[in-house]
Amino acid sequence: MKKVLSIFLALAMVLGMSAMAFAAPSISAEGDANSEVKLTAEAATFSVTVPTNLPVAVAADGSVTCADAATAKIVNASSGQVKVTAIAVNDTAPYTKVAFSDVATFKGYQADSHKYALKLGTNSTVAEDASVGLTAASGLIGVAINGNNGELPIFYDALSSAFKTAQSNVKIADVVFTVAWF
Amino acid sequence: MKKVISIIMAMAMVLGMGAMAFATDISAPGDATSLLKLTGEAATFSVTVPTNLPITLAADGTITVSNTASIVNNSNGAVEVTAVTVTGQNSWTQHAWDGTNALNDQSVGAKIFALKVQAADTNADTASSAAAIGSIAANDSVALTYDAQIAPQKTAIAETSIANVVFTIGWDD
Repeated sequence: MKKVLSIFLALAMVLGMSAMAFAAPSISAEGDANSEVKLTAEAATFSVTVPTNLPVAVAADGSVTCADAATAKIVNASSGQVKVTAIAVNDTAPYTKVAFSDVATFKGYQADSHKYALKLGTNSTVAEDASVGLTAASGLIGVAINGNNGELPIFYDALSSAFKTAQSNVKIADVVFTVAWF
Repeated sequence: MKKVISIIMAMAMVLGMGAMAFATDISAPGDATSLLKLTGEAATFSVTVPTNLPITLAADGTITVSNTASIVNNSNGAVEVTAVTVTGQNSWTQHAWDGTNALNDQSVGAKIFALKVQAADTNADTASSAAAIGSIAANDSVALTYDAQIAPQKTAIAETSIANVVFTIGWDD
């Protein structure tokens, strides 16, 4: 009998505690009643798109045409802001990155010497020479790119030594954008 | 037994005479006044607010809140919410409702939220939401609508208290 009674009492205690835990807060006199705001959150989706290619077209006279900033851009499809923390331009042999100068200088290089130069930035004014290294001054590094398809335009310009034979879609470098949450 | 009954009956008679002794007699045609006297208990005050106001933030930034929250007035008279005060908890801070970016322009992982109750921004405003809730009739309830904005989070969060919402409630005078 005592055992039954003790089990009954234990059950009563447990049920009583549960009821207290889930009871809605009531007030029996004028005053304050408190509700808790409880958040359950998933980690934000990280989804950033960088250009697959940064095309550079070199004409027979050495003039260069690149994609415009409306075409070359980083798009942030994440739900939060992201930023580019670093940009590295890695040569693809036999191509070698040299200082960005001008077409006349590059005409002075031997044909098929596989020299190129690259400038990157958000516009032509702030674009920086990749052979020196890219900094925040380029406007590309450390800038918040808004979520939900915010964009960061990429302006780039290039120079190339002449070719003896025509080239078509030859990879001359990898441009590596390191991207993180802002 | 008979003795007990007779004593009770005698007492009843005496008490009845006593009641008559307080009657107002008039001895000539005219007015006689009776006072209507009330003895009443204070009305029961009993109001229930939601224990929790859940918010779910999906990975794509979508916010989901409960649509079943309500304030229930179990009192015998109408009550009124006179203030809604929101206080951030666990390092979370409240931000004004962001109609432009919905807080998506905040640093990822920032403990920042915005909250609307009854379509009114509760940031630094305890009156608007309360006014929107208004009076709740006796034994009635009012649906509590709310919406939230949360800065994007780097890591998942499991049912964490980010704020207290204090409803100040009194009789609707």
